[in-house]
Amino acid sequence: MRRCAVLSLLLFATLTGCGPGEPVARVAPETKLPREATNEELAALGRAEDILERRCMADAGFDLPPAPEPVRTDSQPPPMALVLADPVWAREHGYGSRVRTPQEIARLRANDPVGDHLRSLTPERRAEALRAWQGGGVDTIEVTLPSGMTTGRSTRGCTSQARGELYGDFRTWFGADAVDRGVTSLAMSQAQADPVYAKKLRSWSDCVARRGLSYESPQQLRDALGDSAPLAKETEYAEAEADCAVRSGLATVARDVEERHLTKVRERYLADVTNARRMRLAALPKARQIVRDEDMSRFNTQKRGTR
Amino acid sequence: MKQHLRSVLTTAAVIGLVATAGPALAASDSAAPAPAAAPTPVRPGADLSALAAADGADGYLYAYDLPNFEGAWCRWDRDDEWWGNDCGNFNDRATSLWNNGFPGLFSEVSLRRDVSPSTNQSRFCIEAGNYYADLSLGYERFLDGGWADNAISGHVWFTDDADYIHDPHYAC
Repeated sequence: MRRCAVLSLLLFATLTGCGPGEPVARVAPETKLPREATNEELAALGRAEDILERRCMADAGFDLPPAPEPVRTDSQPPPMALVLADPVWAREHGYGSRVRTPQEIARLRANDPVGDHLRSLTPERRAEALRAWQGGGVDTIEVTLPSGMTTGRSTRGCTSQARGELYGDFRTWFGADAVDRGVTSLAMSQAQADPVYAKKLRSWSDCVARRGLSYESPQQLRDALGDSAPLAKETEYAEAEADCAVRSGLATVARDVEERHLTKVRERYLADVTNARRMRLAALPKARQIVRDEDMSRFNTQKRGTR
Repeated sequence: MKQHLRSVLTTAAVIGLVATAGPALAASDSAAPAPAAAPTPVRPGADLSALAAADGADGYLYAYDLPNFEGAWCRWDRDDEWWGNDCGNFNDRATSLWNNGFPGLFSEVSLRRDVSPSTNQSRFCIEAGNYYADLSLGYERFLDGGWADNAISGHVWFTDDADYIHDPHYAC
């Protein structure tokens, strides 16, 4: 087992030599944006971040047990920022992993080897682990989001270090990623307040009311459902939302309005959006390699264990 | 199933923290002229090291009455959907926040406006390790567009296992 770890570490070390190229710090407005990473690509990036974090924690003297595999949905969810507009998907998957049954949540909470390990440490050691992981609030950086809010985090600690390793430069990455996400949030907020959308919302609302769900907006309906609901209830709500989105024409309007506001806000934060997208795409080959190596060493470890 | 252990606070331990938030220095990343096309500057942030729990066992969500982690405060390491009976009523008070939770399962926090889902609940999220220094600067913060400053009533920890960045409404 030890040998495997060393091997993958070596492999990893050779890999880090060829990191993604330096992000471009500015962009001419007419430049076409790089494409967005797909959900599957984002999952690979997230997984690689976790693996790098874990290695960093091991270097800091904290050997964490393997985390449970992330729960995968069998099917990629359709976009549902303003409204879920795919009745077929809704019938089959409800809201996807966004809503879980109480039993599922209890099961997820119970299967937490990393948390169990942390809780078994002394308070002092636990605090050390958190500092090693999150940086303890020192050497922070911050950025103003498109909404006007200030967000920040420590540049220290394994979470930030892992991101720096993967994306090239943590400082640039943090700003670009935070602002890029902020662009989407702000555009969605504006889209919800858009008069064209608000007008169509009324016929959507009438439609769901006829199905016994009196809510003014999909957001309100989802908040009423919550994160935890029995499957039948989740499906009922998701189906109502999606059926009525199609019937009322809200689906079409929502897409247009979303796109219009996204384009407008992205234009204003073009450099950040471009940097974030470019850095994600550039980190992808490295992320896939990290994941492959990890899976390989896990597989070898398991095989040896069963012998 | 859900434990609602409320962290009891020794109000005597209120910290007089000086947020060393640097001035809005434009620490531009080697960005050359390009006026409208420069990235948003990233600047030095607040020093939060003095905030972390003195008892050694941290992993809390911290909320402060004032911007930049000042004034009355409260903290939680479990879910609490009603802040009204915490720390002498923390309902509709938070203006700065820090999620100093452990990474991993249930490390993100969904912050809720209003308690009853049937009335006017909305939410926004904060990733483990991140802070918001001043909610009063933000317009349109909850996912439905409402103000988040002095409007948070409770929170729930969750696992963002499908980080759909194109869709802030999905996981949060």
